[in-house]
Amino acid sequence: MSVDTRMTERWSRVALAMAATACVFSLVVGMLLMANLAAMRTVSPVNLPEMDRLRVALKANPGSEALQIRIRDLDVVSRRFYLGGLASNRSGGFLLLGGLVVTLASLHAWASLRRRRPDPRAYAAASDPLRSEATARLVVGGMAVLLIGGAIAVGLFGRPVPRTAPGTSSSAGAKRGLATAGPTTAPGAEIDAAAWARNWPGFRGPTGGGTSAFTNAPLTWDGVTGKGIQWKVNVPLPGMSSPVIWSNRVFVTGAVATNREVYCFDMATGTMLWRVGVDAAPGNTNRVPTVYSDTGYAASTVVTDGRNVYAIFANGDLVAIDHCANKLWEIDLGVPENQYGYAASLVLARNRVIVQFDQAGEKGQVSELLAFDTATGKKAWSVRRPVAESWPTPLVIATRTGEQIVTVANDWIIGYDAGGAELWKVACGGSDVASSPIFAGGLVLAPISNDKVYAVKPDGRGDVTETHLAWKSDDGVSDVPSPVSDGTLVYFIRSGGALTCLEVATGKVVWDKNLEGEFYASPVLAGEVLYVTARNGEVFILKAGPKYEEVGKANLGETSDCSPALADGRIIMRGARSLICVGRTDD
Amino acid sequence: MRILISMVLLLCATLGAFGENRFPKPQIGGGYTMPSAIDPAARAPGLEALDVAVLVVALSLATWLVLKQRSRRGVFLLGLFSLLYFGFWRRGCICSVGSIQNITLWAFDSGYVLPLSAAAFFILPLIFSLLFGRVFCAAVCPLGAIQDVAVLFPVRIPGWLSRVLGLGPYLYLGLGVLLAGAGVSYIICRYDPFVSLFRFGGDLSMVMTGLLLLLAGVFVARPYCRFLCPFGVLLNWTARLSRWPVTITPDECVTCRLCENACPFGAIRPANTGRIPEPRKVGVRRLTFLLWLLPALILVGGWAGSRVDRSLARIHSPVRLEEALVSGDKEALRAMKFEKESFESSGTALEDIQAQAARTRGRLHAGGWVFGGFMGAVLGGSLIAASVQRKRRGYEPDRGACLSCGRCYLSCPKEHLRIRKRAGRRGGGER
Repeated sequence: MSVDTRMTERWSRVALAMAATACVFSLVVGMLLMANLAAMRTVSPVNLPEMDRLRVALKANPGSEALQIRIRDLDVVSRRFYLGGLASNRSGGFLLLGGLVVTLASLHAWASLRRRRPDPRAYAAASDPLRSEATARLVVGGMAVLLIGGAIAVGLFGRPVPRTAPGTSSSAGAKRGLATAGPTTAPGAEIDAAAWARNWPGFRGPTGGGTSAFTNAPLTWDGVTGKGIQWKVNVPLPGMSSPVIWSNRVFVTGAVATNREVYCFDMATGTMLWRVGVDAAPGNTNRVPTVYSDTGYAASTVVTDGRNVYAIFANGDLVAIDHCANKLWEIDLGVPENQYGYAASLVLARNRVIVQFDQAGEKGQVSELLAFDTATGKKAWSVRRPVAESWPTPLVIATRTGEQIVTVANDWIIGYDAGGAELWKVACGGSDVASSPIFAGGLVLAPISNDKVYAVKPDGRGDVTETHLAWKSDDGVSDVPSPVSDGTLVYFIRSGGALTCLEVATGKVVWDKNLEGEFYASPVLAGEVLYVTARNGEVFILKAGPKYEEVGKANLGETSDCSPALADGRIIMRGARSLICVGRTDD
Repeated sequence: MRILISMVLLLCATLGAFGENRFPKPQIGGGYTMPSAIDPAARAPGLEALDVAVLVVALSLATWLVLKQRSRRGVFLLGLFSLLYFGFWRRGCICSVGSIQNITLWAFDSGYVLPLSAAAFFILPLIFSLLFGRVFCAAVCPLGAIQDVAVLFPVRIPGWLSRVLGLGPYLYLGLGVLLAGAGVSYIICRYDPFVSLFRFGGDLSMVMTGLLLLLAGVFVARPYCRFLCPFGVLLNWTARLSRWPVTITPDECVTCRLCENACPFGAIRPANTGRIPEPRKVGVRRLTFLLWLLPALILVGGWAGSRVDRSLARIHSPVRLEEALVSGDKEALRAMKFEKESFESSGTALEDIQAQAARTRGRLHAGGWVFGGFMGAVLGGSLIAASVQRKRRGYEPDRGACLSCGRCYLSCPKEHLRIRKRAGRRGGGER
């Protein structure tokens, strides 16, 4: 053996010994790291059973400071442990890395020292390619059978897709109480029309006419004894705005002279999920508007498209907030000149928030219909309106010729297309117009206070006063509440209690009845059941039809001027101080 | 020198491996702005163009080194550059392997705008492969380069095992395209075993997978490239048609067998003239049977693929959440508590998520037919390939499998002769 060969052998042995030592070292460090990782997983901040329990308890008792402190303490301890574990891992990682580098370097050196020139004689025993290919065919064929068989087995015997929804989910509710309701359109291509119809996304619901897709609204409850009341929570600031529902969220607004807020409540429990103040619109002067006490500073109802909620207040602050309480944009439209206080609610049309911003006195010519992009808040279009201040909410309707935005005010009922171009108008009289129009039986039904009820065919162009009026009626001219219709009959309630039922097609009086009490809230219709809420909190539950028929009476337990919102088996009502969820008791 | 560089790179690769654990997004309110979750951050258009320019230069240089210079050392050094630039500097993004999903998304989602860099990283390596073979794998792909430095004691894998494991990339490609096309998941990037090393952090399991693959690569050279890489499938197809592929010898093969074991990837096909093949009649009968079997495999595969739609859909977390919500599976809901909270706070209706899940299942059902048919064709093609014997007069690289690394050059005595002649012409010097 030559000297070179002996040296090579020696170094080769050294390299191998180093590799073995480093390998053992790496293995030991690796095992310790694994043990540390296992310990960290048991106290991972995201998987602490104790934390879950405390969070559930906090949801039930959101004001508990003791619970909050315990959660914070536990969070700090678990994070500290976790971070300590990470630091240990990092140190151990360097040790492991060092071990691996030495192992690989030693092995590299060992391999280089032992490398030999290729010797074709060593390949003599190489496998027969034909035999190798035969084995390959056998194994690939076996794999084909296994893969296809496995796929078939997974398909046939795998876990099936669950089809039915248990409990009180909206699917179950939809099965139970969803009517083949009247036509509704979603205000944007991105909004599912079915979801729009199932929810109560704005003032007077998905149709804007006070009708619900659900027919299973509760019939009996008593707000005084608590019977049939699922939950009742305090709303921090007062407001005449009505509740709005999307999925498991309820939205309302509240305001006083200097403070405005949007609230989101959990539909299931009534827990307030968030409240967002509205006071930061660029250029906001925070000028306090003059309002009538019956109107207040938060009379306009919000509207939601399922992702964001849009709200406007009496001082002209317009805001968009997503369902997770992030404010998206905020605009100051300026304080409207309105003697009783601004009260028109927002509606949506083609991903635009529509604001009927009527203000100033007769012939003021400063009233506008405004459209803002829902995503950015940028003004999409605006159009001047030849009307004085008014309080009704615009109505978005789907006609054969396209989507229309219908507005009513003193002097004019006007239909616009979704881009703000005026399509038709009907001259009317009236003053202090507050009732909102509805769309029923192919007609726009507009009660004009101190004038008449107008039934307009919305397929004309220009001034259609003489050509497209189906009928006019002196009966049923509601002043504050808006009408409701099942498509055949339409019901008007005046603030003084006169309830009138007219035929939609002809305007003929079917019946009338004087109800005891004062009425500001608009009636709503769930299937064949009509709910008429008096200011004192008493709710008249009537059967809709050609005869006056009382189903029952219920009591909210506090005064209310807000229109109810209907959901699957529930009604959300707003009293003077509270938000109240009424549920069916026969389930 | 090479050992030292290899060790330094391995050190760099492993440094961040243990800082991978991240806290979940904290539930912070009060106007707190979350930092960007995109890692690496979006690239400025000018720098995107720079990446494309570097890619073009690297591909051209690799071609020159492989085909003209026939320099293994040059290929190795260019590979190190690619590892540093496309791997550690660009943090593994953008990469040609992941660009498959960009292309798929672009094909199936009309709203997706395909970035120029993604298109370039997808198409340029394929064009070079079509012309010169897999020069991209040789020295430009950072995933290949990081494995290349770990090749220490390569062992020869039996031919049948190599053929079976070689089905892996097809399965991965098919699944990757199916799931990306259906908008379910981007598994090619998500399960990239080396990107967490390039980024000095990531999911622990992926860090461990990357390290294990590197360790396995000590014995089984470039295991990811050969048995997993989905882009390798496309490069394999185009390289088979390549106009100027790499050759082992610069001259005529003398069948000395010295190169037979030189390729750690088993991509050298030996000369087989003079060997006694099986009777022609047997081979023809088997081939006829397999050709008849092929359409059946495609059909059955397609049908079987369409049956796994529900199972594959469960990869998508909204589908899992929908199933848990609808079935009221408390255990599943507990496991998805954050998804459930997010769903609840978004105000989305159950019906909406059900509709979304139904759409996902529908897309996977339709795509499953194509995916299953593709896998049936791959299995059938593999059976046919294992039944066809081609005559080879000399030793030559398998065009599809050869990674153009240049390891075989110095095994050829004719190459040594060429080097000596060239050195003589230049008056000495060693490459």
